[in-house]
Amino acid sequence: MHILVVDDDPVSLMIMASRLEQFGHEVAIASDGFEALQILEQSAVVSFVISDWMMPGMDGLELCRKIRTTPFRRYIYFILLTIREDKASLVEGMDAGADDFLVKPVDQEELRVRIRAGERILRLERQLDEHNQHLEQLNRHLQQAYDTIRNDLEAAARLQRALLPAPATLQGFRFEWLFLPSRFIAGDMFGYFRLTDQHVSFYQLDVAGHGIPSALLSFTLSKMLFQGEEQGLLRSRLPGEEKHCQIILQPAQVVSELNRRFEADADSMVYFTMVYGLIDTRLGQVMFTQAGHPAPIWVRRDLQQIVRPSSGGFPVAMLPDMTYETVHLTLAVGDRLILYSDGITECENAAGQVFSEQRLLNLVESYAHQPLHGLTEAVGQALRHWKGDEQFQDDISLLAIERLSSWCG
Amino acid sequence: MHIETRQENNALVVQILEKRLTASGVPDFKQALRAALKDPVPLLIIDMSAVEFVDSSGLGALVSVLRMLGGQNDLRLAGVKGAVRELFKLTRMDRAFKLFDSVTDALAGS
Repeated sequence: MHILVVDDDPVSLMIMASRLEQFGHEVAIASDGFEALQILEQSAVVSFVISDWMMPGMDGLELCRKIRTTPFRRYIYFILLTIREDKASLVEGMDAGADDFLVKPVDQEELRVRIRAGERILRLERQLDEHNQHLEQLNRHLQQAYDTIRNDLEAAARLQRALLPAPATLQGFRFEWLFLPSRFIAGDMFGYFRLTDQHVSFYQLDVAGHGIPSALLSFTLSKMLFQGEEQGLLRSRLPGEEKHCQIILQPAQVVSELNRRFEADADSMVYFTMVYGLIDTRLGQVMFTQAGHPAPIWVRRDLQQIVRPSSGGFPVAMLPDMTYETVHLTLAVGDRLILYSDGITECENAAGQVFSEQRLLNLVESYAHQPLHGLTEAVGQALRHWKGDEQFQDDISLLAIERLSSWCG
Repeated sequence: MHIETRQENNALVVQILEKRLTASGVPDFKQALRAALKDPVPLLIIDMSAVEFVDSSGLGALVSVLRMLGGQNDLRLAGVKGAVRELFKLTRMDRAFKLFDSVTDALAGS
């Protein structure tokens, strides 16, 4: 071990140095505190100091304080030499940061065991330091991995948002929506698009579970439904058929086909609930299939009534060979059809109370005579207020459709 | 997640002693069921009378038990009520599962 001996008396310095060399240590010497500090700063191998207390210039106590406030990259063990072993000087020395004391004249055997004790402490300090460095490195790696994942998820969320259609009027029908994803990426998805000059399709779906597997499936589904025509999902390609309306598949057929294509793995059970619908925009006739999703809300303007036109249906991709029903209704001018995911009704406030279907229905009713976007904004505001923050446990989505006028395309 | 398993006559009764069967409890639930079904069981009863809320992941876990059994063993759900019953109606799972008011009814099969 490398030991630095500090003493202004050259004789004591020599005696101590030769004893330490006899013990097998490498010895450096300094005649005052300033010199000692210089040596410690220049040589990283010295981490053990035995210093006299009384010295001109910088004394042992001051040297110890300086060592403790200097950011060395290693721990420096400090033994202070005293002439008397009274309580007051012990306290003063420990207060300055000394690890141990030796009373002059120093006994040979005592010196040996005190140095050994110091060595043990330094060894432990070194182990702790290595351990800390290892942990710091692990921590850095974890942080890097987390940053990468977060960036990827944020990029995925942007892609997913890009799939959402802008609020639009299609063939005399107004489409507005509310979407508040739970974390980075969502399992909820919805859309609407022109199918023929007389038909518009719409859907809303909610993939079970949260996180990446759910988002991936909702991604795939939205792409598939949007490109459904090419894939024969929304229209069947019967040869020789000319009229569009005859080759459009009924919602129940579309959902059955989705159920066939996406059978969930029995262990992971990534299934989804959805409403898929079709509007004959000239007649205002709507056909839809409710597959495990909350029942759509039909707001009838003329009757000033809220109707739930369906009661349920099997979720999709949960069990094979399920049969689905198509519900028919006609929207009069001014009527609305509102689709929502259970993230709205099951949204809990700080007290653990759910937002509930009733609160949603109340909002739908009180905004019945406001423009459609007023309703979606009001629902968003009510949910944020209910939750108290933006950290929703589940995705929140609502798709609102209104028949604006008779349309002759 | 707190789940207890006991043998009653020829049936294995798995009792969920939690108010919620949701995504966070699903791994424990599946683990318990897998352990319970290591040996063949002629009749499995899941007692859900303590459960007040099931989310989409919880429902998925129940269906995965149904599919694990593959129709070869009898699965009966006991004590499905309130909001959970509503969810079963909405998703038509009241047709996929055999539902009973209590374990006693499930054991009697009526």
